[in-house]
Amino acid sequence: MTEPARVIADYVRRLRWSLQAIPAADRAGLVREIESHLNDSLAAGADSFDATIRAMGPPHALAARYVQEYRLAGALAEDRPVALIGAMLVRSGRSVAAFGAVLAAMLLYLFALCLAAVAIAKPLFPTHVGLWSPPQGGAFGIMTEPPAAPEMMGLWILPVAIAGALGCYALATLVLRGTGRHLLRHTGL
Amino acid sequence: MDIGSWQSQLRKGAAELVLLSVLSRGEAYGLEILARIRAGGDLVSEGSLYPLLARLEKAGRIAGRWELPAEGGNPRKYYRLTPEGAALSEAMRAAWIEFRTTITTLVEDPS
Repeated sequence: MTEPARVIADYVRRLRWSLQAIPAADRAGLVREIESHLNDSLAAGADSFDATIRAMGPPHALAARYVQEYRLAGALAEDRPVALIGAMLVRSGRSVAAFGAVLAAMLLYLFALCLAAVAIAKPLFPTHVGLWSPPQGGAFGIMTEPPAAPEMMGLWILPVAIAGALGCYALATLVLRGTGRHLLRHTGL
Repeated sequence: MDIGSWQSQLRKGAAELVLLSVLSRGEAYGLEILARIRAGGDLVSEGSLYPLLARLEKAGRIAGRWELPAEGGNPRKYYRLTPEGAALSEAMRAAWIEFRTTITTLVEDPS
C-alpha cells in the first residue's frame, strides 16, 4: 500500500467510526462518496490530494458536520420526542433558541404527563381526583386528602385531562419542530 | 474586528443558494460541483459540501444516484434538483436579487 493510499484508508476508517450516530445504510453511502472523492483527487496529483485532505478537515470534524445536520433533519422526519430533544440539546450549547425550545418542550411534556396521570387516576380513585372550588382552598389534580368542598367536575375531568395532555404533547412537539426548522434554515452549515 | 468570521458567516449563508444554482445547470457529482463553484470563486470547501449535500438530499431538495464511470474508476454519486429543489432555487434566487439590490443601495451608493 502506498503512502497516500494508506492515508485514504485511514481517513475513511476514522470517518466511518465517527459517523456511528448515522443509520448504517446511509453511513456506507456517505463514506463511499468521500472515499471516491479522495481517490479522484489523488489521481489528479499529489498537490491536489494534499489540498483536498486539508479542505476536508480531520475525519471527526467532517463527521461532526454530517451528524449535526443529519440529526436535526432525521429527527424532524421521525418526530419522536426523545430524538427531537436529543437533536436540540446538541445545539442548545450554542443557540439560545434551541435551549429555550428544549426547556419549554420539557415543561409541556411534564404538563402532558401530569394531565395523563389525572385521567388515569380518576377511575381508580374517584374521590381523590378532581377540581375543588376555592372557598376552602381550591385544588385541581390528584389529592391524597381531598378538600371538604364539593368536587366540581365529576367524570368530566376525564375528557378535559385527556384533551389537555394531548394538547400539551402536540404543542411541545410543534415547538421542537418549529425551532428545528428555524435553525436548519438560519444556521446553514 | 474579526472580518474572517463575518466572511465565513456570509459564505455559510450563501452556500445552499450557490449549490442549488449550480445543480440547476444540470446533474453533477461532488468534484464537478466543486469545480463549477470554484469557477466563480472559492465559496464552498470539500468539508462543507458533502454534509450540505447530505442534508439537502434528506430534505428532498436534491436526489442522488450512483454510477460507475464507463472509463473505469471510482463510483460517483450524481445529484440533481428535485421539483421541490428547483422551486426553492428559483425562490431563493429572487430573494437574493432583492437582497442584493437593497444592500447595494445602502452600502455601495456614495450619496
